Amino acid sequence: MKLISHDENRFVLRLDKREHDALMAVLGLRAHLPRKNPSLMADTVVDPKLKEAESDLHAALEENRKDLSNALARLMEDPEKVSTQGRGKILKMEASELDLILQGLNDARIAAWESLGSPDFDQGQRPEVTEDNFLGLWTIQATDLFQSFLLAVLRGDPENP
Amino acid sequence: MPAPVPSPPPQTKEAPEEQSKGQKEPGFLVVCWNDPINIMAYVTHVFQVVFGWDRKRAEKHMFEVHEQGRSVLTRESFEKAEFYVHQLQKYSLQATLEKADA
Repeated sequence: MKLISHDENRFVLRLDKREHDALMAVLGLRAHLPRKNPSLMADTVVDPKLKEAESDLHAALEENRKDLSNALARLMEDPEKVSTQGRGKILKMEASELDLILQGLNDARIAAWESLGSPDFDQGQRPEVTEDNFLGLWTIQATDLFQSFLLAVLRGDPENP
Repeated sequence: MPAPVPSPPPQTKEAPEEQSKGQKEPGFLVVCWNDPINIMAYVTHVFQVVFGWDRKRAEKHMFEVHEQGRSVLTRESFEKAEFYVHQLQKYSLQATLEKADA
């Protein structure tokens, strides 16, 4: 992955074929990785009105997830945004579009983490690699690389992801 | 470099249970919790996008989350606080709202 050029709000990135394949694979995995419903409040919600608000929140997040999938599909299939150059791809994106890709990557990352039982990496919980959890662990590693790079691009420091 | 712009929060409207009390001050805190999976730079980025903060302020809250386990990001009316929790959860951060003490 390399930042070719940028101005105030437009970024031109180059991904080699393997990187592009991996990015598309991670984003595609979202469809197969369910997400848990988050809580509206840290304590158990007992107030009926807040229960209703929490239920609305879950429905809204589900809708957001579908909208994100559709937006990402449109973006990554748009020939104005993603073009072939040799064996690689050139991405011409605005900041809001990189933000969309970051959202998709993080959604896959969190879903993969949840699928592993939400291990506490900070406390040294490192699941042994098995056939069952390989994909989840790979997703976390791959999203780490892509997100770190894109975040460094957005903050204007692509050499230090 | 401009951060992507989120949609604006809704106009202030009191939570149903607050209306009868005639309470005028916003009374809900938006709290972000530490987790072992979100990348620190991503958390900073999300704070910048959702709240329109500069990087310094966003990083201050990110480090608070990381080091103290949680950070109170803002105090708002129920509707605005709910909006911000939704925005943060849309980005997969662990955010909740809670009633302010006073």
